[in-house]
Amino acid sequence: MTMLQVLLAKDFKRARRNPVPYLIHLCVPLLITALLGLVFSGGQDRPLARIKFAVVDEDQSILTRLLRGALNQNQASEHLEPVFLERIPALLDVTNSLLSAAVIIPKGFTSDFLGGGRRVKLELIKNPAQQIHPAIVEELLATVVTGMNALSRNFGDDLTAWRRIFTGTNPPGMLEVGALLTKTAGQLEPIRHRLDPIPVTYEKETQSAPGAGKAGSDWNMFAYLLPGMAALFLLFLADAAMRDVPRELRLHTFDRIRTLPASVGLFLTAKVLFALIIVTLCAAILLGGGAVVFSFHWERPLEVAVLAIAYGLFAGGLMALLTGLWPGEKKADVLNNLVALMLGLAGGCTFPDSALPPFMREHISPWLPTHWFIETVRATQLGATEWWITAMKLALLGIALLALATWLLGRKLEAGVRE
Amino acid sequence: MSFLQVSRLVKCFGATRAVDGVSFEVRPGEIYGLLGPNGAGKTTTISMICGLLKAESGEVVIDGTGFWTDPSRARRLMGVVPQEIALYEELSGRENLEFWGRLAGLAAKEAKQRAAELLEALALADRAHDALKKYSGGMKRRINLGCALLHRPRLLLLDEPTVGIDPQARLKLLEFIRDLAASGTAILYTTHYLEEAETLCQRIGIIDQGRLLAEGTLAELQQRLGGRHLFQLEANLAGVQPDQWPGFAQQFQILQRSDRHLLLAALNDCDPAAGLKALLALPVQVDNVSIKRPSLNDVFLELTGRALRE
Repeated sequence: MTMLQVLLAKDFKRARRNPVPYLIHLCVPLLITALLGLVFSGGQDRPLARIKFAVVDEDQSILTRLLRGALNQNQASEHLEPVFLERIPALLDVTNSLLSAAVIIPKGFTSDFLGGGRRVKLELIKNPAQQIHPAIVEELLATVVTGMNALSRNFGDDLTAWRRIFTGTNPPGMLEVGALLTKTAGQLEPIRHRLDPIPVTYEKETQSAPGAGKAGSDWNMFAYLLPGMAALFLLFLADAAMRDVPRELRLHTFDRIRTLPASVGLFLTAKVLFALIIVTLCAAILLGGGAVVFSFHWERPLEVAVLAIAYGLFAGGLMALLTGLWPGEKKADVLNNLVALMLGLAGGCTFPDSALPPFMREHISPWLPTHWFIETVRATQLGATEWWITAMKLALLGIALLALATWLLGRKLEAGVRE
Repeated sequence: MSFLQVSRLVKCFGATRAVDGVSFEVRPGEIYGLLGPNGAGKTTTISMICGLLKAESGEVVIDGTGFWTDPSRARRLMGVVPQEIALYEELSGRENLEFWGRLAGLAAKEAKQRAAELLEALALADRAHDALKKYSGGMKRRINLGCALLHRPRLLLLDEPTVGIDPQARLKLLEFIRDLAASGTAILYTTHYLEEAETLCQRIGIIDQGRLLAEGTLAELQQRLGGRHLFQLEANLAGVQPDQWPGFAQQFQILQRSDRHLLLAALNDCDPAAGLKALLALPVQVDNVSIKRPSLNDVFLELTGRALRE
C-alpha cells in the first residue's frame, strides 16, 4: 500500500508541475460542451427566427390590402416578416435566397373570389435552397385557402354584395350594407355557439422537478446526449493518463522501478488509479458542468457518479491492456485512439442506438462497456434502478483487464519486447 | 568470496545471440569492469543480472542466493544505475532521491535523511530544490547515481554511468565510485571507455558480440600480448607482405596494419633495444618507430582483430 501511495504521489506531483496535457484534455470536452450549449441551449425561451417572404399584390383591392395589414399585426408579426414587392424583384430575392418564398395574389383575385363560380388561384414560389421556412409558408397558405373556401361555401349568396363593397363597382347603399352586416352576423351567431366555449383545450406547462428551480424536465435531449459524449471523452482522458506508461518505458524510469522491489503489477495499478482519479474528476466536470450548461439536472446524481467511477476503472484497465499489447509510444499514438473511437462509435457514443446498422445494434453494441455505461446513465435518468449491475460489470471488467495487462506487459518486458 | 556470480548467461533476441555464455564474478569492495564496444552485450548482461530480462539459460547468484529464488531479496541488495538518466525531470533532485529511496523500501524519514546525505556527498545540496530539468548533464548523472544508493546496496550495477558528461564531472563521479568500493560495495561497471576501465577497475572482462573474450587485472590482460612492449612502425607498406620477411614471424605478431603503419607485439619478451634493432633491419624503408606499453585497446585488438574505438 505504501509503495502504491508513493507511486501515486509521484504521478500527482508530476501532473501538478506539468499540468498542460491534462488541462488540454479537460478543456476540449468542456469547450465542446460549452459550444453545443451556446448553439442549442435556451431553445424554449428564444423566439424562432422570423420567416421572411414576399407578398406580390397584383390585385391591389381593399380585401388584399386588409390581408397585407393583417400580416403585420399581433402574433403574425412575431413569426412572419412579409415584404411587399413587385413580381420580378420578389422572384429575384427568392432566387438569391434573401426570401423563403413569394406569395403572389393575381390581378382580379378579389373580384373572382367574391364573384363566385370562377376558380381562383394564389401562387406560391418557394426557395429551393431552404427546407423548413418555405414549408411553413406553404402550410400557412393552405390554411388561408381552406378558410377562404369555407367562407365561399357558407356565404356564397352574399358574396356578390360583398364584392360590390370591396371592388367599389356599383356599391350598395348604406341601408343595403346594414342589412348585409345584420344577415352575416346572424349567420355567424350559431357558429359562435358551436365554437365558444371550446369544449376541449390544452394547457402548456413546463414541469419542474422538486428542488430544481425553474430549469429541468423529465426528459432532456442533453441528458440523453451527454452520457455518450462523456463516455467517448473519458476514454480519451484515460488514454492520456495511461500514456504515461509507454512514456516511462521510453524514459527508462519504468525499468528502474522494475529493478526495485516494486512489481509491474503495482506500477500498472498505480497508473490505473491515477487514470481513474483523473477520469472521475473530468466526469464530474463534464457531467456536472454539462447539466448546468444545458439546464437540466440528473435525477440520480449519486448513481451516475458511481457509474462514472466504475467506467473510469474500466477505461483505465482497457488502456493498461492496450499498453500490454503494444508497449511502445508510436503504436499507442495510432492504435489507442482508434480503439477508443471504435468503442465509442459502436457503443452509441455519437449516434443513438437506433441509428446504428442493425447487425451492430443487435450483435456488437450490447457487448460493449461504452454501451452499458451510456444506456444505464440514460436509464437512471428515466428512473431505472438496475444501475448497480452495470457498475459492477464495469468495475470487474476494469480489474480483469488490469490483471491481464500486468501479465502481458510483464512477459513482454522480460523477453525484451518494448514495441 | 564473490558477492555476485554470473554463470553461463545466454540471451537471444530472435536469431541474434546477444549474450552467449557469459560468466564472471564480483567480490565485495571490487570494481569489476565489463569493457566492450556498443552492442557488445554489456547492457543485456546487466539487465539479466538485475532481473529486467529473463535469461534463456545461466544463473545469477547474489550473496549466495539465486536471483530468481528470491528476487525481492536480490533487488534489495543491489542498486542499479542505468545508462540513461532514468529520473523525473519535473521533480527536484531531492524529490527524485526521496522517491527512489521510498521505492527501495526506506521509510519516509529515512529516505529524507539519506537524500540529504547523498546531496551533500554528491555536492548538489545547494541545488536540491531545483527541478531536475534545470540541472546540467553532469549533475543529472550524479543524481542518477545517487538514486541507486539510497538503500545502501551491497552490489552496485553501473551501466556506462559517465556517458555524455564533461571530463571534470567524470573525474568527480569516478572518485565517488572509488570511495563506494572502498567502503566494501561490490561494483559491476560497464564502459566502452578504455581509460575508465584501466584506471578504475581492479579486474576487467572484455566482451564482444555477446562473448566474454578475456578477463583479469590490467597486467594479466596486457600479459596476453606476450610482452611488455609494443612497436609502432611507420613506413610505406603498400603491397608489402611483412609475414614473408625473413625471421619476422618468429619475433613479432601483427596486431594492426595499414599502408602506412604496423602495430606489432614483440614475441618472446624481447627487450626494446633488441626489438628496435630487428625492426630497423627489416627490408623496408622505415620512417619512424615508436615503443609503447600495451593498452586495453591493444588487447582488444589482439582478441578481436579490430580496435575498440572503431
